[in-house]
Amino acid sequence: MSYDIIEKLKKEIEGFKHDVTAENVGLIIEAADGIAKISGLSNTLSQEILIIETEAGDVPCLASNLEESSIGSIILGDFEKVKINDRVRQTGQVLSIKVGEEIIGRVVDPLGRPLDNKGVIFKDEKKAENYPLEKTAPSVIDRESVRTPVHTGLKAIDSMIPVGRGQRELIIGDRGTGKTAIALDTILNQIKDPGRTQMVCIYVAIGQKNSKIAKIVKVLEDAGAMKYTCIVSAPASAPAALQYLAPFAGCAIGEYFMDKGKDALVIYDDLSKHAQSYRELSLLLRRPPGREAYPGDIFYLHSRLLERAAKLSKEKGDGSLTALPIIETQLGDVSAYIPTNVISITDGQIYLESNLFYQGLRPAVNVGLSVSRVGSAAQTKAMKKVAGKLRLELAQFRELQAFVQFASDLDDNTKKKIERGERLTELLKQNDREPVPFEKEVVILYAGINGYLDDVPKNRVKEFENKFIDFLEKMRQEKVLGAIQKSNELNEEVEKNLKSALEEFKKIF
Amino acid sequence: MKYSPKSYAVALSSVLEKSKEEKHVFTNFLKTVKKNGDQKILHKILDAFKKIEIKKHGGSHIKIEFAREPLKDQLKSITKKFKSQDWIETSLNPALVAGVRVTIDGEREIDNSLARKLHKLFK
Repeated sequence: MSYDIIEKLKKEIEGFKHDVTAENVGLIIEAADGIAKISGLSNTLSQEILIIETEAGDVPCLASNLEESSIGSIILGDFEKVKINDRVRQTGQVLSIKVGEEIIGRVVDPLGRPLDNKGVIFKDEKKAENYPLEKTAPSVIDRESVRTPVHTGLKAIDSMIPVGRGQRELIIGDRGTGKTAIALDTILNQIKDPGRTQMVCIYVAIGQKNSKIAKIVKVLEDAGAMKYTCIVSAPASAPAALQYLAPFAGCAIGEYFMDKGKDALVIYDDLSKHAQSYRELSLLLRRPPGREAYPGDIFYLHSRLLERAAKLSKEKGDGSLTALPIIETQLGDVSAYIPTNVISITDGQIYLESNLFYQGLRPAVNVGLSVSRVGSAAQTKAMKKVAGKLRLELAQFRELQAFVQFASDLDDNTKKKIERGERLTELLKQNDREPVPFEKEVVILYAGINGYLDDVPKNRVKEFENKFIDFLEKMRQEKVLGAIQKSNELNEEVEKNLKSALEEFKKIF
Repeated sequence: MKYSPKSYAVALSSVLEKSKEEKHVFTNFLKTVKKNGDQKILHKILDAFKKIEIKKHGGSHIKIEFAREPLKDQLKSITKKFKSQDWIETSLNPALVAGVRVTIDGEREIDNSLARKLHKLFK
């Protein structure tokens, strides 16, 4: 064995050719806190990968600030190895990540290195493609309108704040209000949506605790969701450079699948921490600070990232990239700098409120403040039929909610509206990690808005829902649930069958 | 106000161009640097000044590093290759193991050292 190794090495040394040519070279003139200042290399590209030759080996860095006489670069490796006067060489390549089908099911860092101890990602390097982290978003001509839904499996969202494939929908709320839970439920629900093509999900964890990321991986693995999911992890312990690059890496992975004609979903959890890591880097690079010490291009940072989410035209392969960015607010302040920026960039927001969360209304979606600007075009006909009335009923209920405490003095009509509103609110409550398939959402909301729950006590609404779904699965699978799933419609015949099923079920409930 | 090394160097160079009393200019320059408390950046100022002067005369800053002390003939034959306006600086760098490395204006490099060859071989 050792003989073979030595022979191989000998051959390599014999065949080694060293041509002496003039090369471009730079020198490290400053290095601290993951940032290096380089003199020379005047023809460096923006976002080009440079290699610092240190005594302990090569360390890559990213050219960020191209100044008159020097380059400000972000060190992507072990920055403690870098010393003054180390030589820097160009690679001619902009920062990119290796992507291919094999990346699905893996946990990677923003540079595409595996973090899950499952060995190399690409056994065959030819199958992998290099995708740049920074890329221009698809043009207007390459796009088309959103028309297919992303079912989250959450009744409140799928009915009233629908998300379409290619949309950018912000999830915003205070800490601990269930933002990540919504994102996870959406991933979990993709296995339960056979009416549409399977989405590839990319979960980007930025500045989170390693324990939380491990928990998320476990949940997804247990549910079998890792078969179509990839996780890009830049935990709190990772350098700010990696946290800054993580969403761009996730987006590049999503773009690969979009370009292949598939539907991809990318979740950025969360962009508040991303903005903070970018602020840290910008201050270290001595860029001028602006409001709240964020650099002037913080809006552009997020807009160029989210603009890459798109629904491509048929000529471009019909793929899509849906983005679900998450923003954490402080004490519900949606008018802070970063939240307003991202609200204005996205096509709508799902606003989660702590008050609702503590009242037991989970998911704690504030339906009044949440909006989806393009998603209704993607909603199925069946869902549209039930959702319109649901929105109206709940809006009326919210107006009358103040009178609930002296309900005995109210007229019958108002009392009925309040009672129905209470039942509908109860119906929208859902446990964590229990997404409901779209056809089941439709039938249960149909029952709610058509008064089949009016005489059911509030504390038995959940029981009614579970038992009715069970009843339909056993007795009317093909005629009701199967029919809605296939046609995405609630036509007259299905509606008739559903009504008769409801009447029959109510007799035995 | 804090002045950058480049500003000092540009000012010194343009004053020297006009004045014939070099010694007087340099003395005044050093007094100014001291008055401003910028002695710490003096080496940076001189580096910048060197660059400006070399450029002004149409030359380049050539840095030649040898792994071992070169023979006089060797040094002569290498320095002959450059123009008279070039600023040639030679130094010893044992880290090169063997051979020679030439750097032009801190940007272009011809590296014929053994250290570079080994680095390329094991890359």
